[in-house]
Formats: sequence, structure tokens, C-alpha cells
Amino acid sequence: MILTSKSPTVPNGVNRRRIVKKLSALLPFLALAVLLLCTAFPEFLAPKDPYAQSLIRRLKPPSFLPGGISGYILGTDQLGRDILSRIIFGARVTIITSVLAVCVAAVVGTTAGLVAGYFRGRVDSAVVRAIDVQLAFPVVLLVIAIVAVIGPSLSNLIIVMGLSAWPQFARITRGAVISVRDLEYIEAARSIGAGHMRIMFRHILRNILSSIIVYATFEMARMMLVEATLSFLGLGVQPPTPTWGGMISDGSKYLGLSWSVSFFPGLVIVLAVLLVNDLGDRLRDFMDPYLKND
Amino acid sequence: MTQKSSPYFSELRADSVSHDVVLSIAGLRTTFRTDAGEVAAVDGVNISLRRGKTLAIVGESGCGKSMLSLSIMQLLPGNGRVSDGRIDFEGKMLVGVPEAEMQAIRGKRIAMIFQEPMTSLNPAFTIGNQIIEAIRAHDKDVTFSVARERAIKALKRVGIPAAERRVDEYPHQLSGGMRQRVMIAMALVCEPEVLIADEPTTALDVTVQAQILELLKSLQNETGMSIILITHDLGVVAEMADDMAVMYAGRIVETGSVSDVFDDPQHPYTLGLLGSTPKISEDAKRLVAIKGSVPPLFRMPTGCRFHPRCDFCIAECKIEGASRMSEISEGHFVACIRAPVEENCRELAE
Amino acid sequence: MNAPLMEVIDIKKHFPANSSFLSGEKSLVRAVDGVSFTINRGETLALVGESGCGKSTTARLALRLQNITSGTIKFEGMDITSSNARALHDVRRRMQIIFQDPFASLNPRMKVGEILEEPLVIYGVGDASERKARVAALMNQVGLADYHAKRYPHEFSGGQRQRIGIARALALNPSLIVCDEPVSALDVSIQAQITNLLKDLQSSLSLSYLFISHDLSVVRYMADRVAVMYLGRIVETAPKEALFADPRHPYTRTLLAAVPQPDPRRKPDRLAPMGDPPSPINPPSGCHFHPRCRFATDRCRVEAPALVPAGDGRLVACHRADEDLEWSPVSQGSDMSPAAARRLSICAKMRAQQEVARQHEQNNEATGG
Repeated sequence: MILTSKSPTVPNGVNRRRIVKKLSALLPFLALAVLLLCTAFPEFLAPKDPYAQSLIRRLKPPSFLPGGISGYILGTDQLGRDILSRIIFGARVTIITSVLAVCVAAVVGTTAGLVAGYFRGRVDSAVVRAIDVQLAFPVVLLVIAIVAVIGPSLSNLIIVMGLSAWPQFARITRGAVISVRDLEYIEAARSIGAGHMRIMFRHILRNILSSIIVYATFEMARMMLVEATLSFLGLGVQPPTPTWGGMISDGSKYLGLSWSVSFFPGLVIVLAVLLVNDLGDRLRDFMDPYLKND
Repeated sequence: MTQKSSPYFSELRADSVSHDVVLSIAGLRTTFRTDAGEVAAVDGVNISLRRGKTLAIVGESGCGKSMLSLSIMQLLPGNGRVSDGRIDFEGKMLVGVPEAEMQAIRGKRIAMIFQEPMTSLNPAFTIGNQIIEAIRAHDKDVTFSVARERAIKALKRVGIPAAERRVDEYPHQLSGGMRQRVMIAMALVCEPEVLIADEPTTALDVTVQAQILELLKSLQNETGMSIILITHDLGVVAEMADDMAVMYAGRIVETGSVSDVFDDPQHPYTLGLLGSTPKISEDAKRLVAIKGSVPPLFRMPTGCRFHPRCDFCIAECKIEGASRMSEISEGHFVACIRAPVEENCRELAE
Repeated sequence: MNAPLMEVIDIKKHFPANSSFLSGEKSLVRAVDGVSFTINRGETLALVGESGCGKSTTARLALRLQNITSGTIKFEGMDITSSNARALHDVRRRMQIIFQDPFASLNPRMKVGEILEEPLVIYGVGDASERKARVAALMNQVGLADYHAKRYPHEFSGGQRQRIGIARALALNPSLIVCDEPVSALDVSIQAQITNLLKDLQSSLSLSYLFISHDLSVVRYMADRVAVMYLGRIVETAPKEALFADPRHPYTRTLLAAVPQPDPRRKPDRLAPMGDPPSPINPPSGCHFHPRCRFATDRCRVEAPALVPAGDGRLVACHRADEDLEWSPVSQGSDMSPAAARRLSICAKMRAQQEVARQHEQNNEATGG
């Protein structure tokens, strides 16, 4: 048919646009790679020692601005430490805490939501009550209260952050399960003798997993912010270990003297959150079977 | 308007100028922009609707019959357009008229009812309000109370009991059959000359279907309107229609009066539909099914589009021009070079 | 082996339904209200009725996919009414179901091969390679190709998906298959392919079908016996020939007369029923059909008729079943024109020739290779 054959002459503009489009599609993956490298090998990537203090070169602007010192690309903080190196080292804490916290939240929340939505009845009421009770509490307040009691350590922080986020997972999972459990293919699974576990995990979970994973990426972005908030409040990882939130907190006291101390960690948080959200969208498209095999 | 020079266009034009034709379509081609390029959902369709008569368009899903009706109404989805051909309604060319002019025709002179009466009624308004809106959309001078009286009358006319009370009810309070009656009332409230009914009874139970078909027939007798009936059910065609057009993969493969086509079905697809339909009046040993399935729009076979599924296919069927229409008897057109099949397969005819 | 394969005795299913938002008053939906039937080995029993009559629920109750309110279900001589999960698990492989909607009944995230293998995995049939061979054999049996196993359901047309659903139901060699409107979502030409396939499978595998449908033409083609349901009750059951030639219940007559026939010369004479089917939440008193029945008497409004024998293996639930009620029967015999019949027979011969040629080719390949 005439319609299917493409015209051989493609305008140059279209070609160029296509290349730009391809490159911009690769950009988030490049950024992700950088972020992961920072998490894994900050020692090799950081130009300076993030803990090395020097009162002589404190609160210097970035090196490309007047007054900056060469070698300290993003300037120095109130103790004269290299901001870029501290951001690179801070990635490790921020990424690890938020990823693990999301894992905790996802496992607890998804299991609760799956069981509640599948069995309904009393189990469901109990889970829904628990969700309502916890959602009535502001997350940060809850975490502050708990950390204040059990003390701020990295593992405590992860568990507390994770437990603070399970209700959203449970709610999303429960809703998705309820919309799927009465579909004919679930009945079909029962008719071929599948048990509850098999139906829950192989049939239902498999069909709602993509929405949970996508939500998990958004939640991870939020966890980065929670971690930053807690560090900002002094309840997160303790100094001198660099974290992005902690750096903003430190810099906030010197905003009148130097904007760069808070600005760059803040910028990195914004970029990282955007990156993770973008990856979430891509993941959703990737996991859609309707877009596969065509 | 450019006319596509179609090999059978001239044959049908003589018919379309005769005075008892309300709506005639010639060489209509409706295309859609898709990821796979531009595809034609309707490809060179010629039909004419006689005044006061019912023309049935028969075919399976994906044959383009709904897109044909949406082309007439100019309600095509955003990526679709009529790219060629003409639609002549009472001497007026509908293709390319401005939207404002089309709005005056749509609903007032050509009305449409759909398969699913639940989704075509707005659940947030009473049925009365929706009929009144239909009246006032075309005649702003009608006062609300007059329009309401007309709405009640319209509901009575389609056989809704206690219309005075029902007029204030919401769609969800009505059964499926009642909703389809409301849709018909709404379509007919402006006394259109043409009604396009797109699978009007497919979603209904068989006893309700029978009532709706009877209703449509009696309303047609009463108002003299012409009906284009889109359906997949040969039983509904036999019961309702005067003329019929069998559509396959965007093209008409056989058209003629209902008695001609049922008495003397020529195209292998028409035969296949007849053979595939189980009969309630006799015990069949085995249905003569059509093999394969309808090809997707972007992968249309060459030549006669039915050839990959056809038992009578020969090499000539695969080249362009195999789908040329020929007149078998007066007004009975078939697009098959193998028709009539018994003459071409004499050894099997005994 | 004269015992029936399945025996269903007076089963009921009542759902609570909130009728009033403010008072919270509970009302009862009698979805299935005392249904009995038997299915013999190798036989097709059709359950016919309009939407909301309870035919699909009845089928699910018979398979114990839903719990019944009261009644007895026997399968292969065993009472499975109150079997526990373990006992039911063993029975379930002998009775399977094919669903109406080929789009909703296949898990969109599973490849066709996985879908067909799953029942085998659940019942621990064979090892991985044996299961793979079985899946290939099943796909072949329903007319799909081997490479289809690697695809997802959405890549198939409605008819092909229904074939997948049929293959899944066949996987465990069941003796009974419930076909819940298996062709009503399909196009006419595909309907014929699938009904032919179901018939072929029945004769080659000696299956029994409980065939649920609203389409009397398809039922006439498929069934051996027919049970007509109206609002949760069976109103008439009879062997197919008797039911179509001489329906006794006014509802059966109404249904038969309502079907449009593909013959323009045959204009139906209808007992037009008044109004739409009532809701099972608040069914009419006495005989449920009386408000739509033109033969209804005072007795019909008060007393519900029992399903009683009326000769020829027929049961009818109508107070006036033995009276000669005035109605014009649906005319019998072929409604196809001679030309159409002649050409279709050429079609059939053509098919047969092609089939012979194909088999010949296959044999040649087998011997040559």
C-alpha cells in the first residue's frame, strides 16, 4: 500500500530534531549514572577531602566567580570545606537512606494493602483504621518524636522514615487490588485451582506492581526531602558526615555572607528529585506490556 | 470538491440524482492519522438512501461502518478526516461545509442514536432536561415550558409509560430499553429527515430489542423519515431494511435491495456471513465459518481485500481492480470477479 | 455410567442489597431461587435467559466458584456442596470454565505460554519439558501456532483470545466445561469458528458442556437440552427439538418469537412482551413472568407455578401449560434462499477439498521427511 511506504526525502530539520530528542532521552540515564557513581565511589570522584577544614578560605564563592579560589569549583562552607566534595559524599547518605526507607515502606505497605484488599472483611477494616490513624499524624512530627526517643542513628532513621510512609503504599495497593480482584482473569485463576497466595502474588501483585513501583519512585523523591528536612533539623545523620539537608541547614546561618553554601545542595536535591520522578515515568512505560513486543 | 474517478462512480450517479434519494454518498474516503501512517477506514464507498426507506449497512467490527456514519455526521475523532468523495444531502454537499452550518443540520435534519444508551446520556441531568436542551439547541425561541411539553410528548411517542413523571428522572433510574427509547425520543424530537442508528439494539436483551425495532418501524411509518441502520445482525437487516450494503474492510462488497441480496447473495463474504449465522428455525449440522479474521487497517491486502479469507480466491483476486463493482441484476451490485460462484466452480456445483 | 455427571438440586443464592441509604434497610436479591438440573456425560445443557436472570450465577454456583445459600450440588457422584478447599481442589480440575469476555479473562501480564502452563503447574502435572509439550499440543488443538506462546494476550484478536481461554480450560482434561456466553462478544464470522471448535472438541474429547447464552440461535446449534431461566428460576426445560418445535411456557414463546430471523420474507408474529424484564431485587408476586404475560390469570398473580413434567422429557412451570393457548409458532425449516444454500454448499465442498489437499501435503511431508 502507498500509505505505508515512507517518503525518501526527510527534511534536515526533522533529522536534527530526532538526534536532539534521542540525546535528551539519554540525559536522565547519564545523570543517574553520575549519582550512582557518587554513591559508590565518592573517594575517587571528590576533588578534595570533604572533611578538611581551613578557616582562611571559609565561605568562598564558586571558583568561576570573582573572589573564588581555583580548585574549589563550588566554593567553600563556613569551615572552609569544599562544597562540591561534600555534595559528592553527601549523595551516599541521602541515596542509601531514601532507597532503604522506600524499600521498608513498600514491603510493609504493599503486604498490608494486598492482604486487606484481597481478603476484605475484618482484616481490611483493621488495616484501613491503622492507615487512617497514621495519616492523621504529620509525618515529620512523627519522625521527630520517634527519633527523639530512640536516638538518631542511620538505621533508626531508615526504619522510622520507612514506617512513616507505609500507609500510602498500603492505600494505593489496597485500591488497586480491589479494582483487580473481581476481574474475570482472577476468577479464571481460581477456576484452575490456584490458591490464595498464588492469586495474590502471581496474578494480582503482578498486575499492580507497575503502579507500586512508579509510586515508589515518587516516594523516594519525597524521602530525599524528608531526609534533608530531618538533617536540617539536626535529627538526621550527625555532623561532620556530609548530607545534603545538613549542608543546607549549615549554610542557612550564613546566607547573608555566602549564598552558595545552601544553594548548591538545594539545587542538587531539586535535580535529584526531578531525576527520580522522570525515571518513575519511564519505568511505568517500560513495564506496560501493551508497549512490548509490537 | 474533487471527485475521485472511480470505475463505478458513473453507474451509481444516475441513481443518486433521481428525486427519491435523500442522502447519497459517492467515492467517500475517510482516513486517519496513526503511528503507522495514514490509514483509510472508509475507502471509496458509494451508497444512496431512498426517502422513507431503511438502508442497512452490515459488517463486522472494524469494517468501517461506524466511521462511515460519523463521516456523514462530521463527528470524526480528531485524527480522522474525509479525504475524498462527496456526501449529497437533499442537494447540499456536506463534505467541507463550515462547522456552524453542520451544527444546524446535525440533530435537526440528520439525527443519530448509538449502541450504548447509558454512555450517550449525561448521568447528571434529568432526561427531560436533556431533551429540552436538544429542542432549544435548534430553536432558541421555544420557551422552556413549551419545550417541556414537547419533551413529554416525545417520550409518550416512544412508548414510555407515565411520561409526565419519567421526564424528571435521571438516566440511571431507567432500564436499558427505556434509555434507548429516551435516546430515540431525543433524536426524533426535531423531526429529522434522516436517522442514523448505529447498532441501536446490540446492547439490549432480545425481547427488548424486538420492541425497539417495532418502535423504529412504526415511527418511520408515522414520520416518513429515512433510516441508515448500522448492524452486524443479518436477522435485524432482514426484518428492518429495504436496501442493504455489506461492508468489509472499509469497502462495500455487495449492495442491493434486501430481497435481492438474501435471495441471490453473490459475494463470498455475504455468503460467509449467512453461513456463519446459526438459524433458530432449523438444526444445522455445521456452520460454514469464514476462515481467518478481519485484517488491521494498516495491513490491508491488495486487490480484493477479502481474498486471504476467501475460498474462491484466484491469482486475479490479488491485483488491483479485483474489487470493481459490477451489476448482477438491476440495482444489485457485487464487487467480486468470481461471482456468480457456481459458474466459476462448475465442477463443484452439482 | 448412567449416573449424571452433574446434578444440581434446588440451589439458591441470595445476596443482601442496601435498598435505602438513610434507613440502611436491607433487602434481599434472589439471584438464583431454587434451580435444579442435571447434566449427562457427553451432553450439552444450555441455560438460556436475558441479562439478570441468574444464568451466569447459577453456573458459578455449580462450579463452587461462589458459595450457595442452600441446595445440593453433586459432581461425578460426589456431593461437593460443602467440600472443603482441599477436596474442592481435586474436583476442580475435572470442571472448568470458559468466560464471556476474552479481553478480561486473560491476565494481561502473562504470556500465553505461562497462562496455559499455570494449571499444569498448580496440579503438578509433568516436568518442565512435558508441560511445554502439553502447552504446544493444547495450542495446536485450538488452532493456534507454537510461536504464539511467547506473546501477550493483547497481541491477539478476540477470536484468538477465546481460543486461548478454551485451551486453558482443556489443560487439565476436564469432563465438564461451563461455557459462559463464549461467543457473544465475538463477531459473527468468528462466532461460527468458535462454536465449530467447541463442537469438534466435544466430540473428540467427549466433553460435557453447560452452555450459558442469551442467543437462542447459537443455543439451537450447540445444545442437546435447553433450560430457560427467568428471574432466578427455570421456567421450562426440554430436549432441544421439543423446545424449539413446541415451546410451552409463554416466556419461551416470547423469546423465540423475538429473535430476528435472517429471512426477509419471514415477518415474525410476536407476542410482544410488555415492558422490560423486572429487577430481581423486587420480583413480581406469584409467577414472576405474569406482568409481561398476555395469558396471565388471577392464579398466576398469587401462586408461583412449580416445575412439573409435561411429556417428552419436558418440565414446565406454568399454570396453563396444558391448555391450548393461542399463538403462532416460529416457522421451522430452512430460511435460506436456494441460491444461497447452493453457493454455501459449494463453499463447504471447497473447504473439504482444501482440507484433503492440506492433509495430503502433511502426509507427504511426514513420509518424505
